[in-house]
Amino acid sequence: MEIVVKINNYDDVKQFNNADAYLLSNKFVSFRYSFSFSLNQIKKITKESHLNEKKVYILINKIFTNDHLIKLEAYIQNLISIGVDGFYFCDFAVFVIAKKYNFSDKCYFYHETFLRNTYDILTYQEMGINNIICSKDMHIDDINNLPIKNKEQYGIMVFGYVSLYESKRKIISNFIKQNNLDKNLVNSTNLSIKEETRNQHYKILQQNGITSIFDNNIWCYLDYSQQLAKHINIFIFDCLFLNSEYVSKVIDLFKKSLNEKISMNELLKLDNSLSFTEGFLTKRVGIEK
Amino acid sequence: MKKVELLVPAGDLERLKIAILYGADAVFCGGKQFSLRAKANNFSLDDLKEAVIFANKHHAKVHVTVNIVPIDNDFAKLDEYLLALDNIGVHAIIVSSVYIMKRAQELNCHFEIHVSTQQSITNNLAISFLKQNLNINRVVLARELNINEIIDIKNKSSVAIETFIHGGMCSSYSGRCGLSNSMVDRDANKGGCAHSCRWVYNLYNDNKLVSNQKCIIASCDLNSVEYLPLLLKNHIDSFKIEGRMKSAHYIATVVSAYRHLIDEYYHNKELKHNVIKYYQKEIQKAENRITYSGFYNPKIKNEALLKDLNVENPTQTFIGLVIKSNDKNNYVTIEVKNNFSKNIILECFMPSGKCITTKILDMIDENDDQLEVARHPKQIIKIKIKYKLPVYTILRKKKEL
Repeated sequence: MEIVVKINNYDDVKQFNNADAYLLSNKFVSFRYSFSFSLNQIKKITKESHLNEKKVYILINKIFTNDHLIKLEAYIQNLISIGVDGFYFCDFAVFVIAKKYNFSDKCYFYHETFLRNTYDILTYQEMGINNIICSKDMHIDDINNLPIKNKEQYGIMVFGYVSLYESKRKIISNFIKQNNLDKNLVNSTNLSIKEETRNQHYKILQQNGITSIFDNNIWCYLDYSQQLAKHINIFIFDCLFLNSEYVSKVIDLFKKSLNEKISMNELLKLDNSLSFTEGFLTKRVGIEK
Repeated sequence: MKKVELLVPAGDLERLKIAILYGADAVFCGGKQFSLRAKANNFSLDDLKEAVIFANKHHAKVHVTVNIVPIDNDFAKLDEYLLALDNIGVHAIIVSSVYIMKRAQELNCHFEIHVSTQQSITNNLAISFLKQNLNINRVVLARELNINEIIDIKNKSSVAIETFIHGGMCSSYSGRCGLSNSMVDRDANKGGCAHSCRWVYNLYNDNKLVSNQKCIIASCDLNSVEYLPLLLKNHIDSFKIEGRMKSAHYIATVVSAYRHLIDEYYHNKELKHNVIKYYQKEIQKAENRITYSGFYNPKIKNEALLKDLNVENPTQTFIGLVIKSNDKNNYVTIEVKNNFSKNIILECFMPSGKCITTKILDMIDENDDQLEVARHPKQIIKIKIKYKLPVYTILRKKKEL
């Protein structure tokens, strides 16, 4: 099992000694992150991590227009020369560029809604995209259909706040402007929206021109770790909005859960103020309620 | 010169026929399986067959949306469905699943494969990748692109390029929204979108209300009329109007406006300001939401992309549809859509685009009893007027404000 953690800051490298790999973000290629790592920082972390036999992946979850492709290619070249271990991407352009530099085997397709059935996943693999991160809404029954022989190439996010909505519309800036509010509000990581007839607060974050809305609960697949591990070899933990020390303890629990049954109570003991959901792992949603 | 295709939504057979008669070169509709917009009256295979026959007769094409993001169980009857569509003779399918694209090729289906906007394609490397691996024929571009980006993609593309020009827009990147899934257990990528983005929200910071004002996350509808000359000049292959849930009145009005604008451009090699203005006004007769040119404008001010909730402002009300032309006594048979009285000034909007205003001389029900008011939607009645009206003429009246 490879434990990948999307880290919050530079110091997290030490904090997450129990992880196998770090997922780093950069503002040119990523959104929905706690920290944008410069190329120099990525270089330094990669060097240190390799000394400690850890891997470094770069989150490239933005989609790009033609006028960004030259800069994107240069950036990818730089990352490859630095020695990073792979990219988590969702735009085919990233894969095409990586292939040009013989780096396609180290690309992980990270489309958060399209990779929820085995048919499409296998087709993408036939197209040369070998490494797949299952979508947030892939059901456990469908995960069980993933061929075990490909297990090494499959990953899934098992813990963290999950984004439900991505928009190019700057929703917070718009609200601030309409209501003459303090412009700094846009930088708050404690913003949420609440629908007038519901009680839940959904976290909302505007970053790099993209607005994301998150589920109100943390998605946690602790109860299913052993079952998932039969078909999936990469567990991803996202620290966004969460304390790194806390997530590190959660990783310990998950690792333990691979060998023995760990109840959710163990998790709640770490912080009982947080609430959790299994997302769509065990829940099918349909057309009508 | 190859003319751009005007591609129009069809929620059911009636609207499909109206779309074609009012000027669509192609229509898109969903089948009973594998299609988003589950609440549209999606087409049975028999409906699709009739649709293709009607379209062929009028030199138009039928594109079928096969655009859900499936789960494993959904694939059970895929082959059967694709072969049925092929047998019917549909001209294209609109798809987001790569397995479905691949399977259609393996089954030697004759229809074209169009990549759905759900794939959020925004650059030529992505297009080349799909073309190389799946031999796709067309890409429906992401709705977040501006005019320059669209033109640049077209200039470098090896496949046909389709772009949205009018209608509803997802506020989220298409295919990437799970609000409906999470909030009401309805799967947006299988056609169950509850339009959660159009609900009323408030913004909080640290769980404290920031303002009593509602926080808008829904998008304005798109209206790209002002960008039409540039899109036409740069030979975009297909213009798509969105709205399989829209009324026949909306479809007829919007399609007719764009048909005339496109034809005017090819005829005069330009679109004069007054012509654009005229058709913008025509569109307003049926438009029920606030529209904007969306991301087409490279210098867009973002706040204009977000709309107030459910504002409706058509200038005309759709009151009836002609289902049988004038009889020997000049009575036209119509299906009532909204109530109206006999003494209104009636606007008759015909498939040719011609529009006349007239008075109703007489109004009777199916039993030939006199009517002063037509109160019941779907009721079949007859009205006497002095003009000849073809089937599918839209009858409307100026909205009372």
